[in-house]
Amino acid sequence: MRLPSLRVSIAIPAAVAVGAAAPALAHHGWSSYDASKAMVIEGPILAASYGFPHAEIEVEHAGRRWEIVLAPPSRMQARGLPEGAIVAGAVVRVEGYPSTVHEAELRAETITVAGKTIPLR
Amino acid sequence: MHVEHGPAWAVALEQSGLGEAMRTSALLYPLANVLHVLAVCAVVGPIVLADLRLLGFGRRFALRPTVALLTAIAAGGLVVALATGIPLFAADAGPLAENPRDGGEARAAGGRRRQRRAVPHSLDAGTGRLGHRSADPRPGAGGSVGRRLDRRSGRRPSDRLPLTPRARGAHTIWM
Repeated sequence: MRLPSLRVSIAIPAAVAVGAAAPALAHHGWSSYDASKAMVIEGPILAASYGFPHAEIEVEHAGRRWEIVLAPPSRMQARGLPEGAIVAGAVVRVEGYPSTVHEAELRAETITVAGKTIPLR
Repeated sequence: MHVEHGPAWAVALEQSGLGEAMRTSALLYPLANVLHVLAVCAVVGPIVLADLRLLGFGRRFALRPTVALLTAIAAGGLVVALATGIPLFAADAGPLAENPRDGGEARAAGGRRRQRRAVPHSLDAGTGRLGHRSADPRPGAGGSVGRRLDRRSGRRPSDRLPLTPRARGAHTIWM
């Protein structure tokens, strides 16, 4: 049995460092949402927050309050969705993917407000 | 809205002035985000370069001053990464703090994966012994890595590191 080579002793800490950073990516990346189960939620916004890292809204769907993750405010503004467009009461249609981690959480691919469909990715 | 979930300390951090400012300011979050990525580069980049130098690349750069400079840059990067990372974390602390490390399936399976990990990976299933050490106390019986090399080379323990003299010198800087 030989001591691990220098290359291995570098590779292992490197892998650990990457692994430690992974949870931060997993939460808001797209990987924790199931793209094979695209779904549509339509209805009035019950609650809205327009802030970093992502704007969020709540819409009722199938008897549950769904938490819908939109995009960073900067991106939404650049695409014509200012804060005033995402307010409680506004009727929206959201296409997106359900979370594999939290129940009743959806990451939105597109949102349709006032006749305008805006991609959020 | 911002649904509350996560441990109490994270929810408190999220609801603090810092968390609120990071969420509502148009500039703070993007600025911290960019600086954070650059700072992480400043940590990882010099580490990779120092490792390459220790592996023998770029021998024309004198080891000690080169590694000293790279260490200083990485340390500065770490300070900036923390100074920007904490505010970024604060913006969404609750959900981030409870973000499962094992992915959704593991949680759904009731932490089965974690239970399996509870057995040290180097434990030998047959003997119940740890992989690298022998339970036999007699000298030279299976033995640790060091003893094995000793028997083969007949050198004293201090000569055992399988490193070039140059790299061994470098290691004294690090340790």
